[in-house]
Amino acid sequence: MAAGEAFRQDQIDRLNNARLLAERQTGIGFHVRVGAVSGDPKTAAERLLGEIVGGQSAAAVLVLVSPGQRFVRIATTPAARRRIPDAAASLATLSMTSSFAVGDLVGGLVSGLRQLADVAGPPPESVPVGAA
Amino acid sequence: MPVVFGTVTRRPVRRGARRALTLAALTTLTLPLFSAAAFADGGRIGTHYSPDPLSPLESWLIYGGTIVAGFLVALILTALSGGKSSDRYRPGQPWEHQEVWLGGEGAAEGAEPTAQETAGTAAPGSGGASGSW
Repeated sequence: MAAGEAFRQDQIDRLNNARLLAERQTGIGFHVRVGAVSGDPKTAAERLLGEIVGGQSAAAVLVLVSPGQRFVRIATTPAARRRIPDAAASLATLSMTSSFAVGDLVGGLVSGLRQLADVAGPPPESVPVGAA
Repeated sequence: MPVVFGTVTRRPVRRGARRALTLAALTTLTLPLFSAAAFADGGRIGTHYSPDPLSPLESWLIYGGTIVAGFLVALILTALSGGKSSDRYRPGQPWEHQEVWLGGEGAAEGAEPTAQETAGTAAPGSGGASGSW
């Protein structure tokens, strides 16, 4: 890994594969951000998710990880929340943090994305795939 | 500047070639090492042309030395590859990398959000969960 890069290319590929698989499986837009956050990470995640969605009512999920602050936040839009309840998101964060605690950022994110996709299930017929 | 990775780049051929090269290099290095003890006796060990029994020292060199050499090779390879894990994330240490986005190009252009900017920006009905480690 070169200095200044958080992940190697193979790790990026693994994360992107997990993210795209979750999107294809559910029709929900999954976004991941790993990096430092100034202030409250929870509100930061909500703001970033709002920017991604752009005021639309699309189903989208943002997984915000701040390794320096040892904090992870899963933010869901109202449309995504109907398919991924907060309790399921809590379980996913628990799964992720248990991997993060032993230094496995990529494994934790992949496992969390897979868990969220399993909870959401396949997209309803009326919702276009990749709406976000 | 944020680093955005929106697409998947697969290189199975390159990965396979790298593995094959690694296997070839390891085989080239280890085979002569493992057979060094046998070659030390001029290649006459265990053949019917040289029926003389081996001395205890020779037996230990052949059967023990091979195993010890195998462990030494494994130790050397582990020591050589250990340097790569120095950049691995360790909980509690500061995170001094650029932010990484996967699929969030829409928000990647903005600067790092602050608590003042983000106050009261949650959409009604939005949800989620938080965790720390």
